[in-house]
Amino acid sequence: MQSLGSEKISDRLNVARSCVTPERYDLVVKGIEKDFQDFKAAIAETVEHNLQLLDELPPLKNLSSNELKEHFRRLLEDDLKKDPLFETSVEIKKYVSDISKYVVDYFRKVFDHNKGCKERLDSDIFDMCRMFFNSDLPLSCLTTIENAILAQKDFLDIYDRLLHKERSQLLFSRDNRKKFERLCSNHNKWVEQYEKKINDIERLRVKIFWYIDFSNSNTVENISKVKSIKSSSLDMKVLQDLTNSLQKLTNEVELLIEPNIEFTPIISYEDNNGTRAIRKIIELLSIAEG
Amino acid sequence: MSFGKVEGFFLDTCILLPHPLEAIMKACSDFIKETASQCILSSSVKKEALDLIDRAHCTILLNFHSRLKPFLVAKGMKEITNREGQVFADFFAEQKAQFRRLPYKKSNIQYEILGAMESYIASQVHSLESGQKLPVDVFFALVAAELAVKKHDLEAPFKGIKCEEIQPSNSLSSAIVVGSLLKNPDDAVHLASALEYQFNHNRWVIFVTTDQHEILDKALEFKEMFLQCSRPDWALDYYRELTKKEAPLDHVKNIGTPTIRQQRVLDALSPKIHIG
Repeated sequence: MQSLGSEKISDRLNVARSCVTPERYDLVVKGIEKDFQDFKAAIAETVEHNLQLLDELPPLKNLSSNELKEHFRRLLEDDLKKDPLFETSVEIKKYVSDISKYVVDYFRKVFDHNKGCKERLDSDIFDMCRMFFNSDLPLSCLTTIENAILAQKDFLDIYDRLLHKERSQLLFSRDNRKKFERLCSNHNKWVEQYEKKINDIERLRVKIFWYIDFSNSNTVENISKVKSIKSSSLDMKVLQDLTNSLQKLTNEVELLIEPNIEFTPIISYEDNNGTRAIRKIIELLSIAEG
Repeated sequence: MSFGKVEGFFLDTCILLPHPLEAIMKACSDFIKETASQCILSSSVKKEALDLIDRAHCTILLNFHSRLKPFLVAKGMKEITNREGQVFADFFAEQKAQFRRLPYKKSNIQYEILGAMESYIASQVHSLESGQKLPVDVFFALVAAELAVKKHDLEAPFKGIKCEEIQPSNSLSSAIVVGSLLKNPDDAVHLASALEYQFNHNRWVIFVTTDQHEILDKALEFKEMFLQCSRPDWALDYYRELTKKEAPLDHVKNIGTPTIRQQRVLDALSPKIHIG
């Protein structure tokens, strides 16, 4: 086992990725877009996207911003090159650009990809929990980020359901250009209402994670490593503002998602020991309140 | 005069939460499976349920983060295996002893909450495979990540049922409390929400609950106050009966002289709803 301080928080970097954002269908193939779909260009774009997010971080007193930027750029490029989920997200963009030709392949890839994204979100919850248990952070910081991640997972569930429905409709209409275009346009309208908010949630929760992690790193080499987190290294007012914004955004996304949530059967008391513990305490809290 | 006006079922919190008794759990699940599209949650029930789930989840996490983990670290523990049960047992024994030493205890609830957390952590420790060693922070992160998902699963049924934003007047809640000697003010708001919805829409509703002591034992009083309450097992039977009945506003017009209970409810409803 590695000791605290040398062990990486996770096998991958906790960064904002476009792969959790829904895709719009684009029926018009443009030359420039083909270039864009080059893997290297996609890496460069994601790195830039994250460096912009880094610029938005509240000022860090402990690290030089240029040094952090350079170090982070290298870390991120290495991470993305090794990341299979990122690679599929680039491929998916390629299919999206000419979807009518690739309906079957596209959907097969997307369903696998969404499954991968959900597993990644689970691992983000674990990373955040681990950070919390090595810290003196307020509980609300953990629960706010957990709620945001779970809202992203709920979104992926309804997105999956929509895509399953659309797949058969698109396949049926692949020889009918007008109908096909109408289906694509309906899809894009649906995506429009979510894409900005889902992207904002991803960016904001990553920003909070970085702010906590980077502010508690003595050197740039120490970022994204397991370490003891002290709230005294943070401006708690800044953290509170960030978590409040994330909670607000999560509430907005939940409101959007809720009408699309299918009724889930009640889970059994015997389902899991965690379920039983929470349920038992609910019962006791209810008794305490008469 | 119109008949057959039945809207559906207003659910109490207990209907959508897992129940320790298998028979009740099955009755609730079967009922929901059959009627989900006709079920309604009042905003008060939804808020109560989500608050309770959140508070229960936070209670566990706070205890593990601020008490249990520091206790293990103070004992010099760096890794957890399935043979470490004794240290966890010592922690809970100490916590319970502290609770027993408190001079004023309103109830044993806190003691029982500790018991629930102890059972949970014991199951987690013993579920580790022989020879498996987890760093303390990883063990707690795994536990917390599982609890986050389970909390979300418990919330899910409350998000998949249609919710109506209802703010019943205080006078209607009071009429219900006075008319039934109800002890829990939150229950009064849930019942008042159902009643207000029923008269606002002029369609009968049935309040479905498994709360025997506080609500079902007073079902006759609530019925007198125009609200049918039912266990999930009988809710569809009441539904059929109500379809044969005149609509709520016609029913009220035709009752002749209302009882004192009924008059209180009608007075409380009258500022918002035109009754006869």
